[in-house]
Amino acid sequence: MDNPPNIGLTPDKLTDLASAEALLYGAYAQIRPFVSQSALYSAGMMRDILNRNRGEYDNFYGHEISTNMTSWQYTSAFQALGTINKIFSDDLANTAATEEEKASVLADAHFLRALIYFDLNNYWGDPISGYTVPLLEFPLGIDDRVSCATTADAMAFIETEIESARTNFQVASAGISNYYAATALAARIYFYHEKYDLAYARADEVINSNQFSLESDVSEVFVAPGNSNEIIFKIMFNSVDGSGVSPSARIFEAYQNSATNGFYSLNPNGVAAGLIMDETDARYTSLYSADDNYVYVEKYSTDQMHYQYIRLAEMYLTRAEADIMVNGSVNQQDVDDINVLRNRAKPSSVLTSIPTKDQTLDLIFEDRIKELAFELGDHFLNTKRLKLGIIKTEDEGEGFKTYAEWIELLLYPFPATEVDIHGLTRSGN
Amino acid sequence: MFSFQISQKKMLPPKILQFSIHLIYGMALFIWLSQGIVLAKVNNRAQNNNFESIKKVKINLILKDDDIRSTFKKIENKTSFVFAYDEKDVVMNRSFNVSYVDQTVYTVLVDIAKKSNLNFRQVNRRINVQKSTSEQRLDPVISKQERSVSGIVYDELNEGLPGVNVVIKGTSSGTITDYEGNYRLNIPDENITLVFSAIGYDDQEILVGARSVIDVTLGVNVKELEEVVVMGYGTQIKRKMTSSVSRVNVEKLNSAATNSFEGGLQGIVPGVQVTTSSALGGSAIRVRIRGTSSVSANSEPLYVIDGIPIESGEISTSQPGGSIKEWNLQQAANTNVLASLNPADIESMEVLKDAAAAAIYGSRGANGVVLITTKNGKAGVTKVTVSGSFGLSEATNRIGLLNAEQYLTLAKQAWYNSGFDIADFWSNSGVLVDGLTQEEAERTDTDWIDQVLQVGKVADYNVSISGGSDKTTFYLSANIKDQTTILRGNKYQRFGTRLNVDHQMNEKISVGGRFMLTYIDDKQVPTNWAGGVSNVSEMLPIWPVRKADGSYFNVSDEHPVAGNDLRTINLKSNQILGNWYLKYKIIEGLSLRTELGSNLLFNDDFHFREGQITSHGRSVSSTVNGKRMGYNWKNILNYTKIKGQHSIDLLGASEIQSYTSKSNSVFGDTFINSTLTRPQDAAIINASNGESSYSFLSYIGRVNYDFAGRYLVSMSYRADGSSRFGPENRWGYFPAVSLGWVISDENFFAPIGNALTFFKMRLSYGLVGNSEIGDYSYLSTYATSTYNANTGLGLANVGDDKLGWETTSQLNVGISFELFQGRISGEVDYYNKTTKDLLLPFPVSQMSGVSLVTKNAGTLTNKGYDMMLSSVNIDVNSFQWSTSVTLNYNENRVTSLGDELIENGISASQGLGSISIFPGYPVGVNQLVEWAGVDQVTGEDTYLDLEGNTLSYSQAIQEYGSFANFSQENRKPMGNPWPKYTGGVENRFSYKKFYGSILFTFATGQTYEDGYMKALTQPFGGNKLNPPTHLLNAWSSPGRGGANVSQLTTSNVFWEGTSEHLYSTDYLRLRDLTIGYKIRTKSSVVKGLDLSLKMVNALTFTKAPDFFWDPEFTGVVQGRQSNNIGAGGAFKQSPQAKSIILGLVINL
Repeated sequence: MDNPPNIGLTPDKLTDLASAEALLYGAYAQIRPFVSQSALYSAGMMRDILNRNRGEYDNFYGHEISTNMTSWQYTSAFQALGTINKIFSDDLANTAATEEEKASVLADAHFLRALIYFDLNNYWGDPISGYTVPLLEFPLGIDDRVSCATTADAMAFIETEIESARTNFQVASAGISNYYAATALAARIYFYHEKYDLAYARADEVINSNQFSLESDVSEVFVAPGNSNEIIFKIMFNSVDGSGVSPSARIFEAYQNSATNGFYSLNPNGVAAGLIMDETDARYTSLYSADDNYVYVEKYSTDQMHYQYIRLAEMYLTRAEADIMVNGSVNQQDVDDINVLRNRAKPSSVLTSIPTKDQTLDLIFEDRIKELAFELGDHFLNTKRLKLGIIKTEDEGEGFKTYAEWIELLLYPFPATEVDIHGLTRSGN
Repeated sequence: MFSFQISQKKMLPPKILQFSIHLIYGMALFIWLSQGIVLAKVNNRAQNNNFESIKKVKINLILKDDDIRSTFKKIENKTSFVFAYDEKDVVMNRSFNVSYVDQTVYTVLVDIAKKSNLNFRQVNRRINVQKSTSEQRLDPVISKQERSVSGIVYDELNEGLPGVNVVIKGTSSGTITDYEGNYRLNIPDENITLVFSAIGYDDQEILVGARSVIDVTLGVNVKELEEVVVMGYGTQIKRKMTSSVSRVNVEKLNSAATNSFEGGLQGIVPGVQVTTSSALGGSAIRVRIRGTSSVSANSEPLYVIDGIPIESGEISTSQPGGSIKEWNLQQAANTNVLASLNPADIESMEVLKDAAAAAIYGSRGANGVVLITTKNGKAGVTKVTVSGSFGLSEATNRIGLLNAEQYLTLAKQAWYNSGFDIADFWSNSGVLVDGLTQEEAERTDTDWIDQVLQVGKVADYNVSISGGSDKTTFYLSANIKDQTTILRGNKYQRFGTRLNVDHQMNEKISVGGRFMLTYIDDKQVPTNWAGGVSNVSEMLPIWPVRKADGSYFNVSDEHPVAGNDLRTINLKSNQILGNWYLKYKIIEGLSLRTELGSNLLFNDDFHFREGQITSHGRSVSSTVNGKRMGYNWKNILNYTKIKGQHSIDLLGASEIQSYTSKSNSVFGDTFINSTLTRPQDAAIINASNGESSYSFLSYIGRVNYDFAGRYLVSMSYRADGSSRFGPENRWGYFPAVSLGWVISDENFFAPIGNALTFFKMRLSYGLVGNSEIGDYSYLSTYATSTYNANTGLGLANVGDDKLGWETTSQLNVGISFELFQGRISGEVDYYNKTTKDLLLPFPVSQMSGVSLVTKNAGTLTNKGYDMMLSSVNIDVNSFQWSTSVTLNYNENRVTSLGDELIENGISASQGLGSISIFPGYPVGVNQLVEWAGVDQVTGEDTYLDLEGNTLSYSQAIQEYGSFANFSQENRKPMGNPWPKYTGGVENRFSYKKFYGSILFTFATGQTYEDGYMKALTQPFGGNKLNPPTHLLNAWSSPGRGGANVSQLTTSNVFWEGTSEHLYSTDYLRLRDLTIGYKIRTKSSVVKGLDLSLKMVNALTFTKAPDFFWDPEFTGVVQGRQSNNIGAGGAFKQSPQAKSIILGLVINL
C-alpha cells in the first residue's frame, strides 16, 4: 500500500548544505517570470507600448488592472520566497558546513528576499494608505493567517535584507550572486526609497570597485548571451535549464520584430517614445527597429540570453541624481556621470557646463528613460517616485493624468484568494 | 449533401499494405475452408435418403444349391438392400433351388422364411435376419420402413444451433441437435409433428408429411426478465436485480460513427450523458452517469473490460512543445484510451448506476461503472463474420463568419464610429498587413472554414471467427479502422486484434483468457486553443491564404492553414489488454475463480513545429515515450444454493490492483536544416522523465438472497485501501444494501395479473468512493528545477496526512414493470446522491508557496430520476414496430464547501483550474455580470449591478473606476453547465427483410458561457478578428431599434464574464437513422447478409447560436475527466461530424 514517489524529495530530507544551495537555485529559477512581468507590465501602465496581438495587455493600457493578470506575479514571488524562507526555517547553524559556506547561502537568501520584496512593494505598496504585502520571514503554513505590513516596515525589512546580503557576501568567497550585485541592488533600493545618501554610497562603491566597465557601444550590452562587463547582476539563461519561461525569452517574445508574433511595440505617442526616438542617438538606432507600422524594441534580439537585471549605466545615473539630492546642487562629477553615458550614445548631447539642479534632474529623468527603457520598469518607478503624470489616452482626453489620478489605478490588487483567506486589505487590517 | 472528389491515388504505407494483403489472404482462406465444410455436409446429406419397401422392389432370382448366405448375397447384388445377421443364426445345411420371376423381395423372403427358421425385418435399406420365435412365425417378414427425418436447426443469424430439443409431439422420443445444428430422428409415420425447442428461442412445431429433410430456423425469444445481466464479479437474472443496472445489447450500441464505443451509449441508457465534443479522430468523449459526482476528482465512470479496470482518459498527456507557447495545449484532443477497443468485439455493456450496483467496485464506483463484456465463441459450427463499413462525413454546422464584403462594411463602420476619417481606413486601420495592398484586399474573399474542413472518410473492416467444441470455445477477430476526418490533415488509424478463449479442462476446472492488442496511429491537427480550425476567426476574409510567391500570408501560429501544415502531431500507441482466469468447482454450487489481468499501454508521441509558426522563429520538436502498466489479481469464492424456494448466492473476493506510469520526453529547439525534425538533431536538447504509481487492496463480500424469486435482498461490503491517501485515512469502507419485491408474484395481484404481468419494487442505498486525484497528493514534496545548470529545489505540493476518500452515498427507489406479456415494459428510478468530503484542489494562500492543496471539503448532490419505457407497438406477421424512450432529469448542486473562509464559493480565477463552485449552484457555474441589453439610444451595453440598477458601460467605468472593478463587485453565479433533461427516443421497425431505426437524442437546461465572444464582438481594434455574422445586427442609429450588439468601434475589448454571451445550448438531434436489408440464406457459402445505410447526427435542432460549432460542446477544454468548464471559446473548439455510413455484414 505504500507507494512513495521515486521523483522529488520530501521535506524531511532537506537537511544538508547541498539542499540549502539547491533551494537557492530553485528560488532563482522561480523568480524568472516575476522579474520579466514587472518590466513588461509597467511599460504598459506607462503607455509606453502599444498592444498588437495580446488582448490582455489592454487592461494595463486602460489602467484596469485585474487580479487575472497580476496574481501569478504575486504567486511566483511568494513561491520563491517560500523556497528561500525554508532555508531560514531549517537549522542552518547546526548544518555540517564551514562558516563561509553558510554565509554564502545566507547572502543569496537575503539578497533574493530584498530583490523580491522590493519589487512586490513597488507594485502592491499603497503610498496613500501606507500598507503593502505581508512580510514573511519563515514559510507560511497553509493554516497560518497574516495581514498586510506597512510600507515603512517593508522598506526597513528590504534594507535590512540587502545589508545582510552584503555582510554575508563579504564573509563568503562565493555565492550564486555576489557582493557587488547586492551593493548595486542596494543602490537601486535606497534610490527609490529616497535614501539618497545611501544610494549614492552604494552606487559609488560599485562604480569605484573597478569590477565593471561601460561598453563603448551600448548595443554590446545586449549581445547574446549577455556577458558584457557592464552587467552587474543578471538572471542566467542556460539552454540546459530547459524551456521554462526565462525573463529574456518573455521580453524577446513580447517586443520582437515580427508583424504577427510580437505582442507589443513602442507607442509613438507615449512619453518614452518622445524621448527615445532620436535618430542621432545610438540608444535608439542600435536597440530599436522600425517598419511601416511599428517600432520594435530589440534590447533582447533573442530569447537565448541572460536577463540584465542591473548594469553599470544605472549606477552612474543613480549616483548622479542621489548626489544632487543629497547636496542640493549639481557638481562636475554629476555632470560627468551623465556625460559618460551620453558620450557613447549621442556625443552631440554631452553637457559642457553644469546646469541648474532642476535642469539636471529633468535631464537625468530623460536619460534614465532613454538608457533603461523596457529593462526593469524604471520609467514606472521613477514616475511614481517623482509623482509625475501619465499621458492620457484619446478616450481620456488631452494631456496628462495626474499622479493623484493614476496612483490608485496602478496599484496591483491582491489576488482574490488572498483577500478571502487572510482578509488582506490595504487599510490596516 | 456532399461534394465528392476523386482524390489522387496515393501509395499506402507499407505497414497498411502488408496488413491488407494478409487480411485478403485470410479472408480467402476462410471462404475456401467454409466452402469445404459446406460441401462435405451436402454429400453427407445425400446418403441419408430413405429407401423403398421390400414389398415394392421386385426381382428375378434363380437359386440353385444356394445356401442362405449366397441367397442373401444374390438379393443384395440385385437390390440396394443389405442383410444383417449373426453368423450363428444362419448356419444350416439347407440349400435352396427355386426360381422367382418378377417377385417382390417380400415374397421371396416370406418363402425363405417358411423354408428356414428365420424371420426378416426391413429397416430402411437394412434387412435384419434373426432366428424366429414361435410368434414371429405368423408374420416372418416385416417391412417396417422406419423413416427418418433430418435437417439443420438454425438460429436467427442463420448459424447452426446446437442443443436444440427435437421431439415427436406427444411422446418422449426425440433427439438433440449436434454442434452444427444437425439432427436425425427416426419417425414412425408421416403424420407426426416435430417440436423444436431451445432456451431463448421460440418453440416451433412442424408436421413432417412426406418430407425427409426439414430445416428449421428458430426465432429468438428473449424473455427480457430472464436476461442474464453482468454485474460486478458475477451475474444476475434481470428479474431478480434489486439495483439500478442498464444492460445495453450490442445491436443497440450506435457506435458506428463515434470515436469510441462509449459514444454509442448516447440516448439509449437513461441517466447517462454522453458528450462528443469534436470530430477529431479518436478524441475524447465525456460520459457522466446521473450527473457529475465530483468537482475536480475524475468524474468519468469506471470502465471494466472483461474484468480489467481501465484507466480511461487520454493516452498521453504530453503537450506538443507546450512550454514554447502556452496556447499550444493539445491535451483535450489526445487519443482516447477507450478508443482502443473495437466496438464490434463488444457483446454487451452494463451500466451500473446506483450505489448498490456500483458499491462492489467501491473504491472507484462513485461515478458509476460501465462493464464491457466482449464476445465469445459458442460450441458448434465455426462462424465467420466479415463486415465492412464506409462512411462520409461533414461538419454538423458551419459557424457563421463575415464574408469580405460584410467585414469591410462593419470594419469601416467601426472606424467611422470611433471618430476616424473613412479616407484613412485603408492606411491606418491596420487591416493591411504583410505587404497586402488595398486592391488585393478588395478582391480577396477567403472562406477560412473551407480551408480547414474537408469531407471526412471512414472505413472500418472487421473479421471475426468464433466457434468451438463443448470443451473449448473461442472468438478471434481483427479490425482495421482508417479515418480521415472532416478536419484537414487529421488521420486516425486503428489496427486491432482480439482472442477470447474458454476451455473446460474437466468437470472441476475451466480456464480461459481474453487478449486484445491494438495499435493506433493518430495524426492529429491542432484544435481547441492550439489552433487550426479553432483559428478560423483569427484571419480576416480580406486576407489571402498565400502570397503570390506561394508562401503563407501573414504566417504565424494563428494562421489556420499554416498552423496545420507546418506542424506534425503524431500520437502512436499500443495497448495490450490481457487476462487469464481459472475456475475451480470445489463442490456443487461452490467455486473459486482466480483472475489475473494486465493492461499495458505504450505511447510514442512526436510533435514538430516549423519556425514560421513558433513565437521565437525556430523549429522545435519533442518526442514522448510513455508506458502505463496496470495489473490486477482477483480471487473470487462463490457459493450458490437453491433449496426449495430459497435461493442464495454468496460471494467473497479479494483484489489487488497496481499501476505504474512512466514517460520520457526529449525536447529539441533549433534545427540547422529543414529536413531535421527529431530532437536529437536539435541545437538545444532538453530531456525529462516522469514516473508515478499507485495501488489498491480490496476485500469484497456480497450476499444475494431471494425467496421464491419474489422477495429479493442483496447486501455487499467492500473495504478498499489506496496508496493515494494519507496513512491515517487510507482505508475506505463501502457497504450497500438493496431490496426487491416482485409484487406481481403475490396472490393478491392476480386480478390484474393478466394486464400487468410483472411488477417489481426496488430500494437500495449504498456508499461508493472516489480516489481519482493523482498519486501523491497527500505528501509534501519538493521538485527539482535547474538554474544555470545547477539543481534547484522548490516546493511542489503541500500534503495532508489526513487526506481520505471522497464518498458518495446514493438512495435509489425504483420500479420495474411489464404490461401485456412484455408488450410494454419499463423502469422508473428516483435517486438522491450526496458526495461528501469532496476531493478539492482547495485554494490556499499562495504565500504558502503553493496555491492549491488537495483537501477533503464540501458536499454536492445530484438528485433526479431515470425512466426507460419500451413498447412493442405492432407485431404482426411480417411487420414489427417497437419504441423505447429514455429520460433522465438531474439536478446538480454544491451544497457546502465546508470552510467558512470560502463559504461564498470558489470562483474559477481563484485557482480551481477553470471550475467555479458556489454553494447552492451546480458545479462549474459561471460567475457573470448580468447584461441588460443594448441601450437603443446610445448603442452602449448596459449591465445590472447587484442591487438591480442598470448602468451603461461608461457609467460602470465612471462609478467603479474600471469595468474590471465593476465586474469584480457585481458578478454573480449564473447559468448551468449541466443539462437538466437528457434522453432519447428510438423507434425500430422491421418489415420482412427490411429493418430500420430512428434515434433522437436531446439535452435541455444547459448553458454555455463564451467569454471570448466579447473580443469577437469588438474585433476591429488592435486584435484583428473575423467576427460572427450576428454583428450584422449591431446598433447603428437610435431610430433603428432591435440591435442586440452594442455599437461597433475600434476599441479592444478583453474581459470575460457577462451574461451577454451566456447561451442556452438545448438541442434535439437525429442521432441515428438506419435502414437495412437483412437476409438469411440457406446457401452453403453465405448464410446471411446485412446491408445497411446509416446516417449519424443528420439533423440538429438547437437553441445555440449559429457561431457554435456544435451544441453538444460543453466547454471541455482540458481533459474530459475533470469538470473544467470552458473559460470561453466556443470559437476555439472544433466541429462535430455528421456522417452517412454504408455497412455490409456477411455471415459465412
